[in-house]
Amino acid sequence: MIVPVESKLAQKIKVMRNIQLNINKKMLEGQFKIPVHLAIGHEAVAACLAEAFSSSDKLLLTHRNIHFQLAFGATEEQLTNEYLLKSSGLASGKLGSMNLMNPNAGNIYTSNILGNNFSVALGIALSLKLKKQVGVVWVITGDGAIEEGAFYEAVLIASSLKLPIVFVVENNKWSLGTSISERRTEIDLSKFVDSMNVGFQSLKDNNINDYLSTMLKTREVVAVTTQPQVLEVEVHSLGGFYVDEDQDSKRYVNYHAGAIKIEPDENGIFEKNSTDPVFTSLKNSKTGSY
Amino acid sequence: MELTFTQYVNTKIRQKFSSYEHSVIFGQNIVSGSRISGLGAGLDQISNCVALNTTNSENSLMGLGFGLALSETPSLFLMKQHDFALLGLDQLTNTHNVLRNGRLLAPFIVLMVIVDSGFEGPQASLSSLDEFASLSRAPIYFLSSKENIDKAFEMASEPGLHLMALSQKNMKNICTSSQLQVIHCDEAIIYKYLPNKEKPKIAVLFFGVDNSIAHEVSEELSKKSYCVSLINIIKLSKIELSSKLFYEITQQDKIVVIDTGKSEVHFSTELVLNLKENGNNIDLYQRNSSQKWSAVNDDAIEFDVQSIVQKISKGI
Repeated sequence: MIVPVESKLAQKIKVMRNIQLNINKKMLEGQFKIPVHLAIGHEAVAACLAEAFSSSDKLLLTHRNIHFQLAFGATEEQLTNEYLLKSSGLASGKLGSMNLMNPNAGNIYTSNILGNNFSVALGIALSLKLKKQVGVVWVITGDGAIEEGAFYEAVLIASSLKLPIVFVVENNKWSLGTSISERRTEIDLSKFVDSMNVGFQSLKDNNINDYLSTMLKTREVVAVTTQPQVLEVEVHSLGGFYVDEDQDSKRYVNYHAGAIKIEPDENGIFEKNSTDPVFTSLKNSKTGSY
Repeated sequence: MELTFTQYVNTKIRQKFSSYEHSVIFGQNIVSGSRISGLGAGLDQISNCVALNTTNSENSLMGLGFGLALSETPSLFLMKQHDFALLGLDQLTNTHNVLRNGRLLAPFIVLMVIVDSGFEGPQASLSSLDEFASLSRAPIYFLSSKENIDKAFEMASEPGLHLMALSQKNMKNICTSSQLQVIHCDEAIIYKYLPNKEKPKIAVLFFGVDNSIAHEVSEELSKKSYCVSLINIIKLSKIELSSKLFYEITQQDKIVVIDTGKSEVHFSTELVLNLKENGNNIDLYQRNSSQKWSAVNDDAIEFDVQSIVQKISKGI
């Protein structure tokens, strides 16, 4: 029986969610000494990128990388043992969470320093180009890191040297406990990168068909033209909470790291709308209960 | 034909990068304009090597070198001034900390010119290599003699980060092989002046990019018939107590340590403390006029050859 890609992805996204929820339980039990940044709500971008990824491609990640590790083949046991700093972990217990990398899956660098991985991606892409190797470098970042000057430098160099890079911006509109509106003006990334002759695509609402086809097309354009592209993906980090601010007001705070204390439904779904990739992908693929 | 330091370092770069199947040399103005006063001459002619005139983006250029090294592509970042590297400290510190344990598959050389010729102002004249070596946990190679340059480029064949520093003041000076007896250690080159076994043994240890003052001190002491060893440090890093060099130093009757770096903390201080604990007779000369670095000045060293020599003569 041929399983459609969208069904396969929907199932994968659900598995990724369940593993994260299991890891969350271990965090609630206090099993890990290291900080773990869950990516509940980010699963669709990672699952689709893994599908669009070629074996000759390279992947550079950030401190929030659990969704990519899962999408690129890490098992629950490998991740749990890594977080427990055991030698049977994905990186033999040496990298923990925020620098976790998996070279066997093409993930040769991960940095927890905002904006630090852009320039390393430049070197990897330049090497691919010089050696005439067919491959694309996917460098993951967020709406916080694009505020760093390093982003401007890297896009400028990538465009100047015509390097095969896709900058994937996971925009959850939050940096730690501060939303975009609380810290800066909006950035129109399409205008910003257009000023440097770099192509731009955007994705939202966790439509996996749309995500996968856009990523495949973007990859092809970058591989053929060796011109960089920026792909902005709107994501919702689920698991946020309210804190008492003043006497009569509460403030919503986005999930950043550590254990999530709110419970999803029996399917692991937090929001029954397009902000939750498990809900959306199961609904669209018609394989789940939604 | 005699070569200047600039020409000799340029020759070593061209030799090294001619041997690779694919490599990259990059930096600002390296293949046009002054080519960093000649350091970049002919680099665009090296076969199988791409020489890139880059944007003014030092942080990203430092990371670019790490990315190349991760991908088994040797590279050299040629930097006109050491202070430019401050913008790359995140990469030198954070990226190198994650990748230094065997993940870098090719050499990544960063060659910085130390602007020590004076009157450049408090920013351009930065010379704080101790802090860079400490943060990056990578030694910095002083390109202060022909022997040092040879050793530094030999070491730079190994995969990983290699930081090198060259004195601007030295760039036009002739770079020749020493006529003295030369002993090679991992951490230093030892130049032996004519030994007089009846006279006390004196070691002049030099940390810095322009060793002219250490040479002059050694010459003066040699003229007084002391048995002098000029120990020219090659790589700025912690000197282990178990090293051959440390043992060599402890065998001296008198030790003079001269450090011309402008750092607030020095590897040379740690060495001196260890030597004192060992009971050695030692004088330490470091630049300590921090206030001076906040204004334009002649960059002159605060201590001179005669006072160093006189103090030794009295105290031995």
